[in-house]
Amino acid sequence: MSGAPSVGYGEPSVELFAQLAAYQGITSLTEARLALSVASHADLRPELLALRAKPMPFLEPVPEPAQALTWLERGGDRP
Amino acid sequence: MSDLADLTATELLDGFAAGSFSPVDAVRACLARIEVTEPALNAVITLLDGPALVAAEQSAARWQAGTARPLEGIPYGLKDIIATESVASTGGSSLYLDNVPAESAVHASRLAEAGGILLAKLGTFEFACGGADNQAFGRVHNPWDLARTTGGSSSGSGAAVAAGMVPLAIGTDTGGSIRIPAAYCGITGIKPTYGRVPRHGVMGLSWTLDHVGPMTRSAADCALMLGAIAGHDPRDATSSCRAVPDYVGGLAEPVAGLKLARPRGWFEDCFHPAFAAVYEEAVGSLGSLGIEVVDVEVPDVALSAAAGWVVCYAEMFSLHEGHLHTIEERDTMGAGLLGAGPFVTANDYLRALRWRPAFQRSLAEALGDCAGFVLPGATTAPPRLDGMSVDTGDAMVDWLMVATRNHIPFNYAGLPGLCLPCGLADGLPVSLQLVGWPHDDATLLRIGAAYQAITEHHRAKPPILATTGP
Repeated sequence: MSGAPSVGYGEPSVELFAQLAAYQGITSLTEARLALSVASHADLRPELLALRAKPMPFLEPVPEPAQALTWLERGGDRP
Repeated sequence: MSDLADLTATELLDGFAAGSFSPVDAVRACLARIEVTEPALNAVITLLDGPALVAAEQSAARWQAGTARPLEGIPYGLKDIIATESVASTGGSSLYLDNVPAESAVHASRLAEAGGILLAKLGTFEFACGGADNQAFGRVHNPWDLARTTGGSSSGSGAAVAAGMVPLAIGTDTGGSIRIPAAYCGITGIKPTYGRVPRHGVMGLSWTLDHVGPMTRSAADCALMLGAIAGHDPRDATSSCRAVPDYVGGLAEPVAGLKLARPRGWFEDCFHPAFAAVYEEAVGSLGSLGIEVVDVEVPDVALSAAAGWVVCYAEMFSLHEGHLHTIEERDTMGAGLLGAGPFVTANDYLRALRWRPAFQRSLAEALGDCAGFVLPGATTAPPRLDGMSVDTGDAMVDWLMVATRNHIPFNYAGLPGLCLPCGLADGLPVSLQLVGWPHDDATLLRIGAAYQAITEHHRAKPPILATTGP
């Protein structure tokens, strides 16, 4: 198991995003802009939850992102 | 003699070599085409007619002297997010109207060193993401239907190549921005393997998804241009150190006996029936080249596309954070993307990056012994500029997620993708996409050239060339 929770993050909402923006010191996002951002994240949410649920072990087969570049440089380990 | 503006770069080079016409003739033909089509298309941001004519004279002299280089005398355009020394490079934004770089991007330098002639800096969505309504420069119109978008973000490159303003243009592609306008404008465009073309001098959007590549009117011209711009540059650490193949020489190798994998499902959803019918016929015609098409399944595509968006949001926010305080002054689509950035968690971003090798392996397993995937370049007609919705046959929906769905998975995975025109539906271009193994861009170009040798779709002229009478 990855250890990452598949649930437990809050549903996107304007209130939540306003708090996250404030936490980062972002003051330029209007309520309308926050609502659009919420909609963007809500559209992605089912797939994002699926991504969060994917097992990603500490070592093989997905230890770290740089594997992607080395795989490309090897030509994709083509048979 | 044909109007030189209608010829491909390969055909122009043949004519220069034979002494049938000169680079000066070619540049003048392109300038004449720009003069009659630009008022309707709005594809050009900066026209470099004076310097181009001077360069054309020099190229003509090189042809006379026998010292011509690989692209000697070929006019080309650059998407205006690409830096050009002493020439304004606006990013399609009012913020950079006065930005005149001191140094050219690596592609601009390489094209010039190969003898190419920069004729125009071309329209783009603001910072390659702003959307079709560009506040600074206006909308770019599709030569096939002026009421429709070219797609983007390489909007000017798509329109300019389709209309014969230039035979070659450079585009960039983070989620389809070469391949979508290629599909919508009926031209040939390749997003090379990630790392194949360095990105020094390009305004970035997402460093793990951004690619640079050719937009042309034939696969042979893509091969010609890719050969000129590919290869490691130390100023982009992610650029590949692999040797650059002879893409043009490789076009002559046979394609009979190759297999292509057809992933249906996600990639053939949202498919307007009229476009699906033309696509089906095109896939069928691959058999006459001796290419076998086999159905395959690719798992987790929706999840991987979403992971691509997570990466895009996070990296765009990191790169463009300085524009957040003026977000409401930015173009609509880009503001929407930028506004989503602050709410990607570090864990989700890293998880999306860590999932990338797993998705790559899924793609490799699906490919098996096939040379590549075949899938639609676009599943609908380009949207009308007013509304930006696409007709999937059973619904009108916002264009962006439909237009990008067959592209962003391959930005995320880094595989090369080549879009080829394969017919018309309701008078608008239909496109076939070939996606290949990493660093086997050459096979895609070879299949594309073989397909274009038995079809004429890449030679179809948009209606604007009839109505403007060049």
